[in-house]
Amino acid sequence: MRIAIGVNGARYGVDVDVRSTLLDLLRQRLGLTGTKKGCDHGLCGACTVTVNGERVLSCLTLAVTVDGAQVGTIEGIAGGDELHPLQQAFLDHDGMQCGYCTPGQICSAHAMLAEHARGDLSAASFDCPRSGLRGAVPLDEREIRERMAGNICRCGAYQNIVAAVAAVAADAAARR
Amino acid sequence: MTAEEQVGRRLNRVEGRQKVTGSACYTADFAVRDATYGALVQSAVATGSVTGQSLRRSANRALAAPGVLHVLSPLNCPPLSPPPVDMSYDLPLERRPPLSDLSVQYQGQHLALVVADSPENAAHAVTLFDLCYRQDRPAGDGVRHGSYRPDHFVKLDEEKLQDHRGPAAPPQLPVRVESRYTTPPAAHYPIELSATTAWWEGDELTVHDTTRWITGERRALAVALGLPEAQIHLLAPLVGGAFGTKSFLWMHVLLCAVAARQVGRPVKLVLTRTQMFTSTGHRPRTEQDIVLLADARGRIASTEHRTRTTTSTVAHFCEPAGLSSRFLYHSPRLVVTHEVHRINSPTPCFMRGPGEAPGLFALEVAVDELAEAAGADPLDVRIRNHADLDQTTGRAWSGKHLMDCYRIGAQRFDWASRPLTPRALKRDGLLVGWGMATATYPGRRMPASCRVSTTPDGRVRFASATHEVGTGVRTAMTQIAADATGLPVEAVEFRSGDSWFPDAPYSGASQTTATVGSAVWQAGLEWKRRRIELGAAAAWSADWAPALSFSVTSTPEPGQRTVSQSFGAHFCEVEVDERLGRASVTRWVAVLDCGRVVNPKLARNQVMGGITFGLGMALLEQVPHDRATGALLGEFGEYYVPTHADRPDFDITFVDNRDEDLDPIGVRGIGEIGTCGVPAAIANAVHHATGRRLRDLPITLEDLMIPYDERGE
Repeated sequence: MRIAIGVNGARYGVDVDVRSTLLDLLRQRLGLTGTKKGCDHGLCGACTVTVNGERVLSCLTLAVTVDGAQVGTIEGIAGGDELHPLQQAFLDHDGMQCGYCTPGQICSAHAMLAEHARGDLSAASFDCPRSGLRGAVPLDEREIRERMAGNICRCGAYQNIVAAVAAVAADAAARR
Repeated sequence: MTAEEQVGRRLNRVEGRQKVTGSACYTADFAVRDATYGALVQSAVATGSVTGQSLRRSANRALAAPGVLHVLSPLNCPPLSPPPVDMSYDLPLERRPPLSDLSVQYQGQHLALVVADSPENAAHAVTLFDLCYRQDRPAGDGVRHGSYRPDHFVKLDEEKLQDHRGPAAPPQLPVRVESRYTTPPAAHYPIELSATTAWWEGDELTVHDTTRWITGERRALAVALGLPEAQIHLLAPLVGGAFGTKSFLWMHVLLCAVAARQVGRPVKLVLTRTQMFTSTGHRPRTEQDIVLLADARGRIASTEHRTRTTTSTVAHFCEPAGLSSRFLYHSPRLVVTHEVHRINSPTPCFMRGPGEAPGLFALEVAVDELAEAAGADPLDVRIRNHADLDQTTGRAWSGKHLMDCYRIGAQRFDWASRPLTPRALKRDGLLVGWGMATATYPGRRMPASCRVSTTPDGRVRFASATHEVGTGVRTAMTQIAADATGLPVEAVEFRSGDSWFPDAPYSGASQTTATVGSAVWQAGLEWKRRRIELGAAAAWSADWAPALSFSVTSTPEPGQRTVSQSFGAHFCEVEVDERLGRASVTRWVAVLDCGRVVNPKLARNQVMGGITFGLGMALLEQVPHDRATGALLGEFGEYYVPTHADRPDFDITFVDNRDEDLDPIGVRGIGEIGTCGVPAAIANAVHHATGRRLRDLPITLEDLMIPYDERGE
């Protein structure tokens, strides 16, 4: 089946096998191998990308279902040679070891910051007193951990990943 | 030239930029022209044989499916040679070549490899297989194929698996702890799936593989295929986590190479997550009996540690759980035994802290029980039993700072405020417990080689057939190379992951920094000597490049008079909610004595990862298995590993003393010690919180939850 999609701003028209996942389309057909296959079951989060700005697990998304959509992957996060602040923070805080889950962590964090900015709540938000739910929930470590819980890092760089995301969130909050 | 020492600096990962931009190339990311795609058919039963008729029919059905190019099965697989004896009698390489007959030795054994023009077509063809089996007996019915008692661990003669010292009969003493501890089969679960891409040009084979043992795999492949090693080119530029797997020639690699030759095109094979459980090793189950005898103050006079574990029917492996009990505490009498049962289960292998991870769980919980029996503080009991020298050899330690680890850790954790009795600490309606354990792991080093290439514009490249599995080896080697040559870090580069580079051992056993680092250090010093000879003050000349390009081999000096061993202390806090049966690890203090620290930023990260790995072992991880035999069973999708939500706040300290006896840089490895002792510290903290002594891992909801009708509410 022929579909048209935008990936990181570029437009593609491709004939896809109806059984293909978005993950395999990106990796095999479009050569965008930054997005990783860790389980192919929606368990690990390594394949996280955005579809029309929302986080999705590309291994659980059939390619034909994103016909006409805009897809964002790790290759589109940086602005040219300049690293995105999140990427720089992952580097500086050493939010990785083997690096295989890293594209998924960064894509997930990137979309999560946008979710938070528009006021989305998380399960952790409801653990605080009701008064804490008025206005914007601060993106503290507890909130980040809950909102990033779908991205597994078997190397266990979790504390550094959260530190990287928190640093970017704090910078963004300071600018507002 | 720079004077500032690079070793000890918090340098960012040298390949970090590639990793955060998605440009880092792992095995499955490598694009090859004209690729075909493999998919495996595996046995659904654990023992018996597949019928030739069902296999033939299935293969024919698959061959007729769209896009299928080839089906490799026992019906058409060329004869393959078993691995060399020195690689299979004590290392877990399977002796039975894959697809060599119709017999089934374990569930998940490869029965066929389908090759098609797309991954979707290959995966579809696999579903067309409808195999019939002659089953000798139902899976997991408790039948074992004999057992054996290995003399020592892998190739390490001095690491005795059957050991004894002191009087034959145990002494009569007032304090006695006698308990059985079990650990389940566990999976490495690297997030990168094992992948192989193989192709042939004439009789030359190129293999991109997720391996952390290039030289070993090249040799095993050469023997299996009857090729000279020089005709095999193996590449593993980046490996997405290993933790003990991705080390040996797992059989899918060999089948991929065979299929590529038959198809005449490159074959790319990526294992599924389910196949990772059965086809790339696991940590086998252990059952450990410990008897400790001590005086009234808890001073140990006798230690007995008996381990029973399992291996497959086609390979040798012994989880060496009792090794650390031989030397961790002063004990005049010692009995250590290991018994390995052969069962119809996939082949096990090393997993982070092989031996130490399950073994220290048993020993360090037993020592906690000893402290309880003696009415003493668990840390005090450990201090009273400190081993001032290595009792297995009678030699001194090269540098042991365990007492510093205890002292600093206790201080940072505030251990002195710990009430001795369980169930004494509470917070927000939850029980709180504090536990601790000692960590230890050997300081290891092997021979390794390194090539230096100097480019005409003066850049210096170091290369060795070691592997970047996420440990930061490229960064650490760059720092060592900078110090040895006296060049700034920007002027040197370290490359790994290619069999054309000089030989290095497998990346495991926490040995790479000491092993490859010594070769890089030696090469760097030689580079500097030659550079000075060419004219220390003279400006760079492009003509010097050939004289500054050479290879070295670094071998540990024989007869080290001391024993290099790393130590550490873990202190942790858990919160237990007995209504939900939930244990959460909230706080972790670790102090480690691992020699000199090359890069504190990367080292801290790796130790946090090691602790998180141990946390999974304590509270989450087990492969579904038959409790009677340890055989892996059923579907393997559900395997819990720690997530962002599970980890504690970490406080990591290195005592940072050089080990000058092991290697010229003064380092000992840190890859595994983070995990060692962690499950015991958690189990001990759970005991302190709840009063429950839990000796079977993982500790789960069922162990902790008080049934509603027993709550007296």
